[in-house]
Amino acid sequence: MTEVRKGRTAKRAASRAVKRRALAIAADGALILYFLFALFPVVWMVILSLKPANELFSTYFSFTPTLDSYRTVLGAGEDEGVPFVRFFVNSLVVSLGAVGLSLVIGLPAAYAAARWRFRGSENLMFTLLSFRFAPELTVIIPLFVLYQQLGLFDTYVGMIWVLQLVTLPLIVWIMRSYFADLSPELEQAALLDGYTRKQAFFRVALPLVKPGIAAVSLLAFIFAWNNFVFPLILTSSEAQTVTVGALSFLGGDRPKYNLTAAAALVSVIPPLLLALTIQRYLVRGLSFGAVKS
Amino acid sequence: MTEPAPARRIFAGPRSPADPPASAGQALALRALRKTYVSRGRPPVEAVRGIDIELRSGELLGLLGPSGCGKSTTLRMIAGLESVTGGDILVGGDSVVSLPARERNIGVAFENYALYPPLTVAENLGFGLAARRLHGAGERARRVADMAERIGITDLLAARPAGLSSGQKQRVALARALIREPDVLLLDEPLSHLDAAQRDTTRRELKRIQRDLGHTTILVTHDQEEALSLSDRIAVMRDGVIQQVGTAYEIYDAPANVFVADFVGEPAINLLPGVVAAGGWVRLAGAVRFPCPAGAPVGRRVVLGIRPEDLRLTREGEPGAGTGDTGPGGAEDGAVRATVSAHEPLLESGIATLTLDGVTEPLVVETGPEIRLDRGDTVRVTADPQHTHVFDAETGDALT
Ligand SMILES: Nc1ncnc2c1ncn2[C@@H]1O[C@H](COP(=O)(O)OP(=O)(O)O)[C@@H](O)[C@H]1O
Ligand SMILES: [Mg+2]
Repeated sequence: MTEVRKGRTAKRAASRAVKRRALAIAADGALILYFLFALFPVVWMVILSLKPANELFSTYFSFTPTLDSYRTVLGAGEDEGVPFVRFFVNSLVVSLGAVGLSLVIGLPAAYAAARWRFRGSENLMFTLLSFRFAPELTVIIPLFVLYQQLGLFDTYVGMIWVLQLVTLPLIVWIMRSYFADLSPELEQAALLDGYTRKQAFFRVALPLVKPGIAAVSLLAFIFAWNNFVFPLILTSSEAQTVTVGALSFLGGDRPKYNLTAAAALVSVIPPLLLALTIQRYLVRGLSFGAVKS
Repeated sequence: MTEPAPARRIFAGPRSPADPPASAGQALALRALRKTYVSRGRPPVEAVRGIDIELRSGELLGLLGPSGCGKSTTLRMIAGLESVTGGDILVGGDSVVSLPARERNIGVAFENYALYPPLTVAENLGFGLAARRLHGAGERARRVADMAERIGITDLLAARPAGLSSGQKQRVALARALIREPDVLLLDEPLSHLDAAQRDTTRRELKRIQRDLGHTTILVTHDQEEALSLSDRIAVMRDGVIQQVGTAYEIYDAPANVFVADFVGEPAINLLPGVVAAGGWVRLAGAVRFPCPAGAPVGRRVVLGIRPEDLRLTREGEPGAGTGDTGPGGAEDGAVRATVSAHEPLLESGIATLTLDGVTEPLVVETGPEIRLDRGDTVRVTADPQHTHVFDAETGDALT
């Protein structure tokens, strides 16, 4: 009796294991399909960037890969009249500057918003958020006029400033929830242990939200780096960034898709490198706020 | 700080009022202390409404009250973590209300421990000394080791808070509060997050440590057992107002009002509405009456309070139950007839729930362990006039 039952449960367990295995394989297959689908544009860009200029419009896949496009984009800019390396440096300066400024302003702001309700605090937070859901195009024309008059047009300062619309709300809102998750008793313990409010913020609260800072900085950097509308309208050459600069290859007598593709792929490198270095914090950072004990 | 610990004394129950605190001299005084939280768009919250408390040096005062009554707010004001709306706080005779938290020298063990997560236990303990640049590194390490030894956490020094049990965290939090040798120690619900077993041992440890080191302490709790077993005196608080301050015995035997009577005592006191009658009785309904303590004005509507253990229960017709019945429910000798509606025999005693003729409130009586009662049994209960309390029906204040 018990032997039979044992045998039966064993068989049932075995069939269940098979079913689970099949499900897992099906899921993997589906994921691979989706992966191919999602990756296709990237693969297509890589192919484009490696094609010689004269085979650019051929529809067959066999061609002799060449790094000429990259060479043109990175080195021989004079030739094409497109100073891509400068755009690249501009992008770095402007994006890092925007994130840095946002951190300096945004971290104390987020902390204050998390810890105290003060006159207009909710309105202030909502206004910040509205920068994110108001389309950039609605403010770009008045900004353009303003920038022309203030002499901020096509300058680093101007770009870093305008990118605060993108990075500051992100940093303040996300960091506020990180600070809110932090028990105020920790800072109070530090106050009793002899710290001033400022020290409690800098030496106790800030280090504890480091993973959050890493995560949000990366996100803000990516948003700033990828921004298109602001540099399109508010820069012309001196402060122009890669997103707009890469398009310059499409102008002229003949669109040079291979150069655009190479430029785009080169511009992916900084966010990618940043993501890889921050990844360690990122995983912890993203799970910290969500998984509360 | 360095002499060996004196013999341990552990108190598990209410102590005699004669037991004096460690030494005399006023260590902490709250004068008409008030706190009103004002937040925009919401009505102001009067969390603390003018409380006066004085602590002698070395005394442990239990601040007891239901949750939300303003206990933590009071602690935070003393510690300097919350601004004061009105009144004064004196530590060792000097007002500290204008000082920031770091200059008050007050130790706090927070309800949620608030240990610094990235630091080891040793670093947590040393944090306050290092932050104030007190002593050299060697002396600090010695003090950390010394305090760990006293609290019994030496083997945890290298651990991080995340790896500790609640009981261990509580000890570390206590050690951190004590290491600076604070003038006043504040404990916010120190046992509330512990399970029953840990609670017992931690409670004894807490008492031992506080006795050994002799700190003037306020212990905040909503748990009466905790307050009764640990405190030299207890302050019962409700809605931001202190209801009564006294030893456990005073609070228990002479509650100042219905709230205190009801809040302290397990099982809860019987509170029965009635009217003071001539001849030293409180009449509840019809012929049901209990003896009244002397001094209550005849004709006054009152609430009669009798603790379950102050009632004596006998079976109908048993010797000692008294004879000479004068009618249903009432008796010459003060015995009241009642019907059993439930009986819950426990190990050392039992709890009987009785109904009295014409009285809606049930009467709860503590019985001996040997008594077995069934639903519907008729019994007699007698109350000792020494241990009955009468409160004004309108104000709830004690009348005697
Ligand atoms: N920061 C605050 N802002 C507004 N109201 C508060 C604040 N802190 C506490 N309160 C209110 O004050 C009252 C007392 O709170 P508290 O002192 O924490 O009570 P307890 O510690 O006795 O449970 C409660 O009604 C609570 O809601
Ligand atoms: Mg509390």
